[in-house]
Amino acid sequence: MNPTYYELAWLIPALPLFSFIFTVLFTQKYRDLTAFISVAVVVASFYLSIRVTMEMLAGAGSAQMLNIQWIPLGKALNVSVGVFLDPLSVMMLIVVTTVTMLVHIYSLGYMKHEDGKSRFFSYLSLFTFSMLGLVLSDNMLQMFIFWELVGLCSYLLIGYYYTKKTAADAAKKAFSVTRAGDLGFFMAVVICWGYFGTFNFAEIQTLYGETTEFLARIFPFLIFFGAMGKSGQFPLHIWLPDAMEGPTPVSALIHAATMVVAGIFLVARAIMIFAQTPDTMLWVAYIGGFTALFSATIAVAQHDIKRILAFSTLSQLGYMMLALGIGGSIGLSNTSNGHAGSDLALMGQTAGTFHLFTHAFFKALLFLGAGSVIHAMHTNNIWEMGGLKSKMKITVWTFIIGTIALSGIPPFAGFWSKDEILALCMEVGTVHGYILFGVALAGAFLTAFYMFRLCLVAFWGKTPASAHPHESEFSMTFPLIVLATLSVFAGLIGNHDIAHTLNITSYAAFLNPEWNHEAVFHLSIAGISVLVAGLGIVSAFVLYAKRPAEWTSEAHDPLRAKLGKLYTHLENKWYIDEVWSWILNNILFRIAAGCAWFDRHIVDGSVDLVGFMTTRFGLVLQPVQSGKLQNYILVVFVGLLFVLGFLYMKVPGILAQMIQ
Amino acid sequence: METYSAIVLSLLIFVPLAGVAILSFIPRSQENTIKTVTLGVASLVFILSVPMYFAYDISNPDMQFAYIANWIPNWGAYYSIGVDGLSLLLILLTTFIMPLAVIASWKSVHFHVKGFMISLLLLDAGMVGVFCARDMLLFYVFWEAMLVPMYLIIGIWGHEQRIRAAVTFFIYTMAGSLFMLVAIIYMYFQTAAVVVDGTVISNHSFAIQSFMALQLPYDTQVYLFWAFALAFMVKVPMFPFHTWLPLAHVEAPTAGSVDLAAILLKMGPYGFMRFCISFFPAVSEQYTPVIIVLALVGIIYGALVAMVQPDAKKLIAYSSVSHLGFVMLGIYSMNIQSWQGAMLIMVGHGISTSALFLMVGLLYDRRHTRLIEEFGGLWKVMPVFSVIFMIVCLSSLGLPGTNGFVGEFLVLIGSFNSSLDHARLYATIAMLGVILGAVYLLWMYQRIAFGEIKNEKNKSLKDLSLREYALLIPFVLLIFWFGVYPKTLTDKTEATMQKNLKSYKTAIENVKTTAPGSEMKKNVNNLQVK
Repeated sequence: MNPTYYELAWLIPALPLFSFIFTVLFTQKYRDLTAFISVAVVVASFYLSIRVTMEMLAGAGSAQMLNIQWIPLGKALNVSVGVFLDPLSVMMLIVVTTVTMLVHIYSLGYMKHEDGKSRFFSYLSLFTFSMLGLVLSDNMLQMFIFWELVGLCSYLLIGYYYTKKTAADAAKKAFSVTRAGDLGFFMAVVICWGYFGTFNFAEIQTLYGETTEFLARIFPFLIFFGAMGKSGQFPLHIWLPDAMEGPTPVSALIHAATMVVAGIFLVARAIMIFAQTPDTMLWVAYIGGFTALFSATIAVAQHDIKRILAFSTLSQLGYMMLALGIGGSIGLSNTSNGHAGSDLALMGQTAGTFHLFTHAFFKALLFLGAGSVIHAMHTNNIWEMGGLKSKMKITVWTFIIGTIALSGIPPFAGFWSKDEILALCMEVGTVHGYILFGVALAGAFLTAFYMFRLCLVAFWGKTPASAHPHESEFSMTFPLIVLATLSVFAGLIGNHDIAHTLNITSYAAFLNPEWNHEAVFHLSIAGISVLVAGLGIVSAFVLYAKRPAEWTSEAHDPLRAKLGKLYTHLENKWYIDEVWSWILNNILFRIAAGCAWFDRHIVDGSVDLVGFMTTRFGLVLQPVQSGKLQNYILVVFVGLLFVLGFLYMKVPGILAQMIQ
Repeated sequence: METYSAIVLSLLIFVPLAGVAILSFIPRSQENTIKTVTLGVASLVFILSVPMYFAYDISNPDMQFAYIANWIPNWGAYYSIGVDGLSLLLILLTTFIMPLAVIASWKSVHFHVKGFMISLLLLDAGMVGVFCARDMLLFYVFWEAMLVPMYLIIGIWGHEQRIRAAVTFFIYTMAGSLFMLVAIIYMYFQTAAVVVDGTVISNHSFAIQSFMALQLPYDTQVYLFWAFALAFMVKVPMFPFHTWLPLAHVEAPTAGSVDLAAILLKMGPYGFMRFCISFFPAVSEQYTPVIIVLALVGIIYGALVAMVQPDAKKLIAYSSVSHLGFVMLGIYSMNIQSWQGAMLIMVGHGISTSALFLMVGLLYDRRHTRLIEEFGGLWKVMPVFSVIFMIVCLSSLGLPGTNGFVGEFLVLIGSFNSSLDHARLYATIAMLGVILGAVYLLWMYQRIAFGEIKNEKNKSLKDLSLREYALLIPFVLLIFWFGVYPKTLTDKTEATMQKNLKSYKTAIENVKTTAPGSEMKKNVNNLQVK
C-alpha cells in the first residue's frame, strides 16, 4: 500500500532543511541553481501540505507522526521531537507553505541581481525548515528550539545587507529583544518540567488544573512573555519596525505572515492552559488591545511605506492577542452571557487564529506590493512616490485589494476575521469585553485611515520627475495576483452560512471538529465596524485625495497641522525606543561598567595588595638576612634566652635540672 | 583489545613524552621538522584515544582501561590510572584539542619553536595524567607538572604583559594547590595500610579509594574540604579568584589560550566532582549555598564585565567565567540532569571557547591587535571566516541546535528541580545570564563582522587559508554533532554519575541519621593496622 501523506508529513520540514544544507555546502557559487533548488523544494513542501490538509478534511484526525528520542536520561528526562498533525498545525502548514512558496517565487525577481542571492535563498530554506518545525511541535521544548531557530533566521535576514549599519543594528536589536522575551518562554519550559514532568501541551493541560503552586500558576504568563517578544506586543514591539531593514520579501514572509505570528500560535496552542488562568488572559487581552491601538496611532504618522506596514502588522497582531485573551478571560468553569467559559476560549482561539490566517495573505500581499513599488521607485518614502496607479497597474490594484481587506470592508478577507473578533468581545459580555470592543473599533478606524493615506499619497498624484516607474516582472506580479485572490476569498470560510452554501468546511468546524459551535455573526456589529472603517477611509480621502504636486516630503503632511504637537509624538513612535535605549545605556551598561571597574580595582586590586604586602614584608625582613655571622649568633643567643625564660616561667625547676 | 585497554592510557601519557625525547634530538634550526613531528605525535595521541570512545562500556560505572604498577610502594603510592564517566570525555577533549593547538601555533610562534613544541607536549601528557590518575600523589604530580609548561608558554611566547600574566597565573594556582597538598598529606597519614598477602607494604596509601574510605571528624573535614575547594575554585575560576584568567588569556599565545580554556579550566569542576564531593559529602552539602552563590555571581558578573571589554580575548575570557559558573551551579545542584548538563557545558565550552580563541588568534595573526574596534565589516573580505565565527558565537550563546544549548538547558532544568533550598531562585537568576550572553557575543560579532570596512588595514585581509580551514572545520562539526545529538555524550557519563550521586545521597543520609554535631568515629580498621 502506498504511504499516506500523513506518513510523508515529516518531509515537509525535512525538504527545506535538505535544501539548506545542500545549497550551503555545494551551490553557493551558482546563484541560479541555489534559487532553483530552494524554490523547487518549497513547492514540494507546499504540495505535501495540501495533500495532508485534504487527508485531514477527509477525516484523518490528529496524529503524532514521528517520535525521535532526543535527550533521553533514563526515566528522568525524556525529550522527543516529532511531527504533530492537528487542525491548528495543519492550518499553519497551509499558511506557512503558501506564503513561503509565493515569497520564494517573488524573490526570484526581486533578488535577481543581488550578489548574495545564494546566501539569501539558503537562509530562506533554513527559515522554512525552522518555521515548519515550530508549527509541527506538540511539545514545548521542540517548539522552543525551533522558536530560537526562526529568531536566528530573522537575525540573519534582517542583517542581510550587513554593510549597512542600520541593518546590522536592527538585526542585533531584533535578536536581543526577542531573546529577552524568549527568556520568559525558556523559564516556562523549565518550570513546566519541574512541576508537570512533561513538555507535552495536552498533558500539561490536565496537570495544570491540579497545581496550586505559585510558580506553576504563573507559568502561562511566562509563555506569554515569550509570545510578546516574537509577536511584537508592547513594550517588546520595538524590534519589528527596525526589522524592515531586511529585504522586502523577508519582511513579507517573516515579519508579517509567519514568524511574528509564532507568538499567537503558541498562545493558541496552549489556549486550554491559558484559559485556566483568567487573570493572565485579561493581561493578554489588554496588552493585545493596547498594542492594536497604540501601533495604529503610530502608523498614522509614518512616512516609510514598509514602516507603516510594520506598525500595521503590530496592530493586527494586537488584535489576534486580544481575541485569544478576551475569549479565555472568563475561565473554563465559569459562564458568561450564556456561554460556557470553555466555549468562549475556543471562540477566542478560532477568532484569533482566523485573523492570523487571513492577515497572513493580505499582509504578505501588501509587503510584496510595497517591495514592487520600492523596486520601481528606489525609495521607501511615500511622499517621494506618486502617480503609480497608471504605471504599475497590477501592483497598485492588488495593493488596493490588500488595503481594502485590511481595512475590513466586506466581503474581503479581513472583514470576516476582524468582525469575528469584534463580535467575540460583545459575546463575552463582560465590562472588559465592552472596553476592548471600543479599543478594537478605534483601531479599525485608524487602520482604514492610515492604509488609505498610504495608497492615496503613494499611488495618486503626479510621478516625481526623476523617477521612471514600470511594472515589475511576472515572477513578482504572479504572487501578488495569487495573494490578492486569497485576500478576497479566504475570509469566506469563516462564515458558517457562506461555507454551508458553498458546501465547504467552515474554519471553526475545521479547527475544532468535535466542537459544534460556529463563529457568531451579528449584522449590527458588522454594520458598525464597516461604518467606522468607512469613516476612516473618508477622512483619508478628505485629507489626501487631492494631493498637490508640491507635497514632496513628509513636511507637507496636512495631518501635521491638524494634530500639532501630537503628530510629532506619533512620528517619534511615542519615544519608546528612546526609553529602551536609555535603560540600556544608563542602567545596563552603567552596571556593566561598574562591574568592570570593580573587577579591575577591587578584586584584582586586593590580589595586587596581597602581593605588594608580601613583597613589603620581605623587604622588612631583608636586613635580617645580612650575611654577617655575628648578627646571626646574636639572634641565636637572644632566641635562646627567650626560650630559657619561657621554660623558666612555665616549668618551675627546669633550670635547676638543666644545670645539674 | 585487552592489550589496548590496558595500555591505552599509558600511551596517551607517554607518547607525548617520547615525542619530547625525539624533539630534543632535532636541531632547533629545523623548525619545520619540529612542527611536523609535534603534530604527528599529537595526532597519534588523538588517534590512539579515539577507540576509547567506542570501547568504553556505558553500563559499567567504575574505572575502565585501568592499569596499575608499582611506583613508590613503600609510601603506598602507585602508578594507578583509569577512566570513568567523569573523565572519559575530558580526556578525549584533551587529545582532540592538542593537534589543533599545534596547527594553530604553526605560523604564530616565531622563536624558540622547539621549546614551545616541547612545552605543548609536556602539557598534553600532564593534562591527560590529571584526568586519569587514581592515586593522589600521582594526581598531584601531574597537577603541578602541568603548571610549568603552561607557565613557560605564557611567560615566553606571550604578548606584551606576559611576565606579569605568567607570574600571576603561577602564584594563583600554586597558592591554591599548596593548600591541597597539605590536605592530601594530612589525609594520607590517616589512611589504612596497604596489605598484600598479609604483609604490610606501606603504612598508608595514596589510593583515591583509601581517601574515600576515610571517616574523619566533621570539623577536620571542613578544613580539608576548603583546602581542596580553594585549589579547584582558583582553577574554575570562581569569583573572586578569577582575575588571573583574563590576564592569562590575553597574554598567552593562541595555543595557550586554547589549552587554558578548553582543558585547564575543566580541572576545577572535575576536581569538585571527583574529590570534594566524594571525599567530603557532608561538608559539600553544608557549603552548597556558598558555592552556588559564588557560581551565580560568576554567571551574572562575568557576563556583565564581558559586555564592556574592548579586547576580544578579554571578552571571551570573562564569558568563560560566566559559563563555568553554570558548570558549578550544575555540579552543586546534585542531580543527574544538572550533572549531565555540567559535563556537557564543560565539553561544549571546551569546543566553542577554543574555537573563539583560535579565531581571534587568526585575526591577531593578520592585524596584530585584538581590539574589537579595530575591526568591522570583515564579512566583506573574509566571508568564510565570518560564517564560522558566527556559528561559534551562536554556539557559545547557547542557540538550540548547537552544543551550547543542551548543557545550559540541562543545568537549568536540574538546578530548578534540585532539592536544595531556594533552588528555584538560583535557577531563575542563572537564566538571566543566558540573555546577557546573547548581548555581549552578538555585539562583539556585529562590531567585527558587520558594517562597512572603516579601517584601511582591513581591506586587504585574506580569508582562511587551507590550514586554518582544516583547523576550524572539526570544531564546527562537533558543535553541530553535540547540539543535534547530545545522547552520544550523555550515554557515556550516565552510569558513573548515577553511581556517584547515589553514594553521595547515601553518605548524606548517614550523616543525617547520626545525631547532629556528633563526631564520627575514625575507621576502626585504620587503628588496628597501626
